[in-house]
Amino acid sequence: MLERRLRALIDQHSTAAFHIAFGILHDRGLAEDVVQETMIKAWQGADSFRGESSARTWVLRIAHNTAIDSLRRRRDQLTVAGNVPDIDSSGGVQETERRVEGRADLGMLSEALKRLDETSRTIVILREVELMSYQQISDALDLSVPTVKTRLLRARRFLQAAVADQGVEQ
Amino acid sequence: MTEFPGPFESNGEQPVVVSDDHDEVVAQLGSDLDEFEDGSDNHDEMLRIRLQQLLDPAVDIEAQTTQGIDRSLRDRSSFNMGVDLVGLGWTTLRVLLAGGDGDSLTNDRPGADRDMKGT
Repeated sequence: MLERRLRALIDQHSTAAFHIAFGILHDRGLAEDVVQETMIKAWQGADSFRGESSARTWVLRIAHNTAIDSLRRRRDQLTVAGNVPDIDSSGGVQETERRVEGRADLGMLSEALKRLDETSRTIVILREVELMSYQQISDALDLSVPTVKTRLLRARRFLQAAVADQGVEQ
Repeated sequence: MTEFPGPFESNGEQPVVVSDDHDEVVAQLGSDLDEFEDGSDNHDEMLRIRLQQLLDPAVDIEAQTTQGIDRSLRDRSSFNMGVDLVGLGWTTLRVLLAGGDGDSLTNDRPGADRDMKGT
C-alpha cells in the first residue's frame, strides 16, 4: 500500500500532470512515465516544499520540468540512433494520430499544438485546461506574468486559427 | 539623431536602435495585452473543450499511476533486499574464510591490532 501522502498526490494532481506531459511529449506511454516520476519526486521532495506557491503549482512545475527532461533524453536518443522522430516504440505519436483520426477538429489542433514551443504548449494547457491564473502559471514555469500573457496570446491565436481553418475546410 | 557615446563614436557609425514601426508594434502589443487585463476569467471555452478531448488520458490515470509506482517501489525494495542479501552473503563468506573467528571481522588484516598498538 502506498503512503497516504503519495496517494493524495496521485489523486489530486496526476490528471493535470498527464495533460502537461502529454502536451509536451505527444506520447502517452512517456507521459504516463512522467506522471509516475513526477509523483515520486513530489513525494520524496515534500519536505523541501516551502509553501511559497500552492502545492498544485509546485507539482505541475515538477511535471513540466520532468517532461522537458524526458523530451531532451528522447531527442538525444533519436539523434544518436538516427531515428525518425515521428516513430516510437510505445505507439505514442502514431497512436495519438490514430486516436484523433476521425476527429478532424482534433487532428488540426493536435498538429498546431505540436508546432508550438514546449513552454507555450504548457502555458496554454495550464491556462485553458487547468484554468490556472497568470500568477500561478508564472510561478509554475518561473516566467514573468507579462511573458505568460504574451506567449498565451500568441499561442491561443495560433491554435484558434488552426481550429477555425478546419471549420472553414469542413 | 541620438548621439551614442563610447565605441560608436570611434568608427562614426550610428546604429539603428529601433525602426519607425516600433511604436506601432508596441501599441499593437499593448492593445493585445489589454484583452488579458479585463479579468482573470477570460478563457476560450471551445479551445478548452477541444484541448481536454485531445489530452484526455484515455485510461484511469490515477489507478495506473498508483499501480506503476507501487510496482516500482516494490521492485526497488526487492533490489535493495537483494543488495542486502549479497552483502550478508559476503560477510558470511568472510567469516567462513576467517575460520569462524567473528572478531577478525573488525580488523581488515591480521595483526591490525598489533600495528595500532605499535604506533
